[in-house]
Amino acid sequence: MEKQWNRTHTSAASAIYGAINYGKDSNFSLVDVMGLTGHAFRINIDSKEVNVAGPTMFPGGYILRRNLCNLGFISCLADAEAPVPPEKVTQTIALIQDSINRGYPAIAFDLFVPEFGLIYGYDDEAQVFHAKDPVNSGTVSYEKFSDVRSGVLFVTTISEQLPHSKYEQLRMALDMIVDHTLGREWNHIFKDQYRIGLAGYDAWMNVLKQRKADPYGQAFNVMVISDAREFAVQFLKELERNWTADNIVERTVRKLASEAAIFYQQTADSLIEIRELFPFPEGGNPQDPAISDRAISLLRTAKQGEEEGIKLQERLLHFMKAYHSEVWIY
Amino acid sequence: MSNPIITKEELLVRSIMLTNQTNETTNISPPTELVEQARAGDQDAFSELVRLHRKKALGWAESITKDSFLAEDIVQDALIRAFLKLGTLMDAKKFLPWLRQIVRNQAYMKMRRGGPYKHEQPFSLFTKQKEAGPLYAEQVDWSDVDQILFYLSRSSREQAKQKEPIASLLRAEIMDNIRSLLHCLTEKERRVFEAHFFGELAPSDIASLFGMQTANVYNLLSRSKRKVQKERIRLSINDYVKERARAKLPSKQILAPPPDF
Repeated sequence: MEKQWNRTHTSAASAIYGAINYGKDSNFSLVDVMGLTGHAFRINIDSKEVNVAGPTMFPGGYILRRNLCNLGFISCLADAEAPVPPEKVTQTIALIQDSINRGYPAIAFDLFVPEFGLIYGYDDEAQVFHAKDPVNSGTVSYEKFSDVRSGVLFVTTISEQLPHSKYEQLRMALDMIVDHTLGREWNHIFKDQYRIGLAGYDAWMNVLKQRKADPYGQAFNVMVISDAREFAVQFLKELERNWTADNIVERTVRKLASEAAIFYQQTADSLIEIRELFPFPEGGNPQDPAISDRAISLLRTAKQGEEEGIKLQERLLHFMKAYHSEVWIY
Repeated sequence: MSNPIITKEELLVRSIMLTNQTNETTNISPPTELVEQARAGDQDAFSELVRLHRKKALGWAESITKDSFLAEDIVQDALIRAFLKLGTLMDAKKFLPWLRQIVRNQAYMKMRRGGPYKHEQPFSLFTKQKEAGPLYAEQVDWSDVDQILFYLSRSSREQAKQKEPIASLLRAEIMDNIRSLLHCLTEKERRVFEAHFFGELAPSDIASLFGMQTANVYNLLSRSKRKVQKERIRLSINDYVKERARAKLPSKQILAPPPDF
């Protein structure tokens, strides 16, 4: 089946993509968004049982602010901790309403399911928001929206558009991707339970070795991560295809992106195979030693691909920070 | 059944207003019948109790605070608490020492702190881990009803400083706030809640008072706190929406739905 490049299982990217497209002259594709936000390169593994929360257990405010920044937007953030004081509830509602009045939906979390979604309308008389997330669409009352039992009352809104060049965008994206993959990304309160980047593969293999994987959670993780890496490959291929040969920057991007794409293809292929072993939502049988060992072997291959891929991306990042001379006579 | 809290509160606020200028005081315990009547919700009886003991209470408070303004504040708080706790007073004959203890508690709490917290005190003595009451909304732990109540009374007092002549009306506002919050509880929840937060009774005492298991009291208190927290947010949202309508801000705006995720 042909991969659809306008849908992803990474809800943060869907929400960002959905939101920025309300802007008049947004010309980002979902592939661009997945790549430039770094979501195509993320892996966030619960080290106990690869639980279902993994893919969304990152510091939302920090990551989404940087994501929007990479794409050329200033953002606003509400993330008051539960129990949320009434004043902060109404301030958060006001932030959403202000965004909608300016024509942009607000990015929220856990509207219908614990995923990122969009609030695109409000009605004070009925005290409801109009909202959509990966599973549902409809109205959510202000009261229910505010009733956060744990965690934070999360909303990110798009503020001003502050575009920068495609060179800047790519450099900022690579900075996030490299930091994530090498485990340097700020992981806030999640760092004790979740492993990111290459360490995520190790944590996952370890869970499988111990036969402790939660079938549902693991199936969800592999669905999200394999989809993400397919986008990663597509993003790198599009860099190669769309950038020109006009100058050393464009040429270097094309060269390194095309080389990296090969390694990420290895990663994506292995993850797709694991996805078939553990189909969502049933999750197959991770208790079966033969299946688990096969999955571990595939994860090792996936990790190897990513290890090589990230070396190239890191090289590209250093290059984008300080370009080589176009002509060098020595 | 009708809501006895409402009438009691109105009565209380009125009593405090009416007795502001009273000169009368007495060392004699009030007639037991008067206390009984007040406990049963008799408005005149409670007014009379306040009238009889207001100046005495001010004396107790002032002997600790050495500040008549502060003493006035303490007594107003103490009377609100006394009123709310009245139902838990077992022996009507002990009204006077009981009231004195409440006033002294209030006064000591206020005096315990200095510096910027000089005029603050937690609403309950039993907030052991929170030495200073919250000054600002963002400091309030909204899962902790002590703090909510403290914050409510404090913000009301702040306003009272600016609009002195209607200070008594602002008292009514506190009571309105408390009332509207407790309104979300069932009768049983409210009795236990009040016994704990206004009566300052430990859960084990409440358990024996109402013939419950201590564990159930904890459950009920925790459930009640959560309900009160939700109720507080519900009311804030109502106010917020009304405020927007008053300010003629758009009441409805719906963008085109986003494409499917």
